[in-house]
Amino acid sequence: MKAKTKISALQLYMMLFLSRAIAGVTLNAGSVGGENFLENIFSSLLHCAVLCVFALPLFSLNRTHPDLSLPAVAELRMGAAGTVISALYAVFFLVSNAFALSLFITLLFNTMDPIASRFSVALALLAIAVYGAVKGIETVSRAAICVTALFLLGLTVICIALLPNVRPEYTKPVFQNGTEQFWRGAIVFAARSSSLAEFAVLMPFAAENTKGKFALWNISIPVFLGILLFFTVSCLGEYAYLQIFPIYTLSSIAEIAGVQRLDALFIGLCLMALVVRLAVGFFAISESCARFVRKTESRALLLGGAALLTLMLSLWVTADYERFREIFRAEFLLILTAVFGAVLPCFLWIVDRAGRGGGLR
Amino acid sequence: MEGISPRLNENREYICGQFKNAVDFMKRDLRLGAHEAVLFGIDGLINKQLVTICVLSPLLREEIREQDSESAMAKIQDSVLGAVDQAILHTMRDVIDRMMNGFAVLFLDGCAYALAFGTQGFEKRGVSEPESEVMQRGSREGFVETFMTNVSLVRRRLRTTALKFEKVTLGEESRTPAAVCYLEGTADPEILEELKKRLARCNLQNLLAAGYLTGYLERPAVFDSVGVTERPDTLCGKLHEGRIGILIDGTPTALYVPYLFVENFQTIDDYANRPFYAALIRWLKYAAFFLAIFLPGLYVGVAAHNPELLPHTLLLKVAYAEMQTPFPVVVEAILLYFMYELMREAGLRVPKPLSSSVSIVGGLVIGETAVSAGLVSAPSLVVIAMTVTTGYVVPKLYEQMAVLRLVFIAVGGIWGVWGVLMGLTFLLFSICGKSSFRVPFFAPVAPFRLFGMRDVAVRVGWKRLARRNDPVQTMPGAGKEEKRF
Repeated sequence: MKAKTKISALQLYMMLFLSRAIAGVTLNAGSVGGENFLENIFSSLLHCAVLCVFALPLFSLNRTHPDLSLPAVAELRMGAAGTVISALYAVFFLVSNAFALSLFITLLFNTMDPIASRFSVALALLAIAVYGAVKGIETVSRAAICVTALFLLGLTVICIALLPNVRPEYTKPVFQNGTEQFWRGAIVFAARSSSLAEFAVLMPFAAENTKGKFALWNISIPVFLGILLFFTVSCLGEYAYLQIFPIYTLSSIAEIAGVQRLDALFIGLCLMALVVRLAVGFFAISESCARFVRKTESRALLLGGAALLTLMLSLWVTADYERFREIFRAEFLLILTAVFGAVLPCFLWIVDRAGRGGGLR
Repeated sequence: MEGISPRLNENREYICGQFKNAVDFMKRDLRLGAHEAVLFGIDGLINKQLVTICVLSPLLREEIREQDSESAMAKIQDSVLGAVDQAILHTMRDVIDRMMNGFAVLFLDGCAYALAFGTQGFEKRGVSEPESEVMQRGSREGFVETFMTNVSLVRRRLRTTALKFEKVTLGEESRTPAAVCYLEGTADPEILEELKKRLARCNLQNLLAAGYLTGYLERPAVFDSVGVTERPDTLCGKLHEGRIGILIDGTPTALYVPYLFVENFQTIDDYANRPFYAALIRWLKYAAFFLAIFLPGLYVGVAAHNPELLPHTLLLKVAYAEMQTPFPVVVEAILLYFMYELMREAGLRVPKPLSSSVSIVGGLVIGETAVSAGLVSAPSLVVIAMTVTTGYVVPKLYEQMAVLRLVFIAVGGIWGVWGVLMGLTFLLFSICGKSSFRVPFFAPVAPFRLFGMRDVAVRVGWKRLARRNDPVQTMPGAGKEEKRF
């Protein structure tokens, strides 16, 4: 329950960066609207502001209980009810992992490799993620540094390769046809981001003051998405809105010295980032159940079970595209992320203040 | 028998009993004045001429008038053999230890202790250039089998009183002398303590090579977290960085801890060459490491599962070559690789006059006949040849690369390119989760420290490198307990 292992704030935010970036690269017209992708840069900025607001109770709780994660605070303040909250957090991370895996499987099988075995790819990805999570947060966070470096380097290469394809005339003025795309994008960003919940669980593992780097991390995502969306719009034009995964299509038109298939590089980088995201999710599950599983062996067993459930859920969901759309629709995910990223932290903050007799002031 | 008895007969019987049937055991009975005495030694370990001139001759020439045994022994110790290196021994264990180390040991009747004289004189190899760590600009001296020579080789390079050598004895049976060496004030006392603890846990009967000990110092893993060097200058450099060395008698290699992943790519030549060239060579090594492990796996993955990733011209060439061969590309790659490893092993074990024949036959069979017979394709051969060549660029990682290469060929054959990338992520987790004596194995890359990159991403000039010495224990993330050691 008590966080003994400490990682640097940089390591923490690199994990969370990958977690959000991987969700960002799968945007399409079907999810955020087909008016103007550039408006989604502002959606991302709005999402940033929302994250800043809802991170405040988490920072406050972290200051009071620097060594306790949010589920641990719930158990401390609410006893048995707190245990239920911890279990709910574990379920949330499981669903979040299943969503991320399903999204990647859909990306992979709709673009690069339609004939590969869905089961074996998902199983291998989950096995590696569980291995990382069992080894601990230090392992995952260190690997996140390397993967982030590779991810950014790879995308920089793709962007450089795309420079000759940039057509500024493809870009359109923003908010020309209202703000629907903007709001839709904000909802999708918020729905697909499990960062606040992950932050709530992983915060006590950070060895230093995380506030400064939180701001840096929070702003890095709109910058990252802004660059990607600018290239998408200015290189693909209207074609971008017809694609299932426009950012993937963007990578597939990039060419360096005769090597045309940079989409393979893109998918490879996404795959590595996804493993880190899944490992973070599994670690968060183990932390949410830390009261019940203390030994490494039992943790491995718990995560093995969680991985199996994730696998089954992902395979079932991705077997039918309509089912995928229904189950993981933005409205449903938004409720989940809002509850676990904002409502429960605020509630626990109030309970904690009341429990300490400090009032709400 | 623990202590030394005042009765000479008992001591003599005990020592003779211990060395029963030992052809090299030497015993010389003496009469020194009114006292009976006996001198023991081991032939081959002692210098007989030295014993005759420096011990026996003065003993027999000097008239010992003291009636009391203790006084007679004191006289021998202070006057008769005062010039010889001596040690007073009180237990039989010490006596046998000294004899095994080339000392001559004198017992006197009525005296409850023995005197050991430093008369070592065994055959030893002279200091020569190490064969496995050849340098262009570094020193030509390498460690030898003799422990004290190795100690002097280090001492000669670090002439500071901060350099300490703490003696330890390892091996229940072999009683091998070893020294833990470090720079006081630079090495971390906690790491030193941890090292001593792990050495104390060593239950080896015989310590015949440095490699025997590494299993006691690290957790089993693919990558080593204990450094090995044959070069005293390398060890001195490591000691300067806060590492702790272990010199073992009878082995020409020194061990040192903590050992980090990036050290596999660092050689003493890097520091003698110009910085820009050293940086280039270092990046060449990183590239070679990746090629050596991933190239055959990626080739197999692309050729078998994702051929669309290849540029058109190359794809046609590979496809045409593969059409001519009977085996799938994954089997071809494994076969070629096995054949190469067989040739390599045979070349190593075969007597030297035959090694050239093995190379010629191997080269011809693999390189020429197999391709012309259509058993394997030329692109596969080129890939495997390139892979094994790049493997020699980082010789410290050869064993790991040899195994991982095979694993990645299999993974590439099963899952294609995605399998190789998943394998890379797994490898990354494995490296990132490892630590060596409480220092993260992948530091300063992960956990990241920009300052540490001056000797990892590049090799900055000596003026900047010498400005600040960051001992290894100050690496980011260092100092945490190692799990489940």
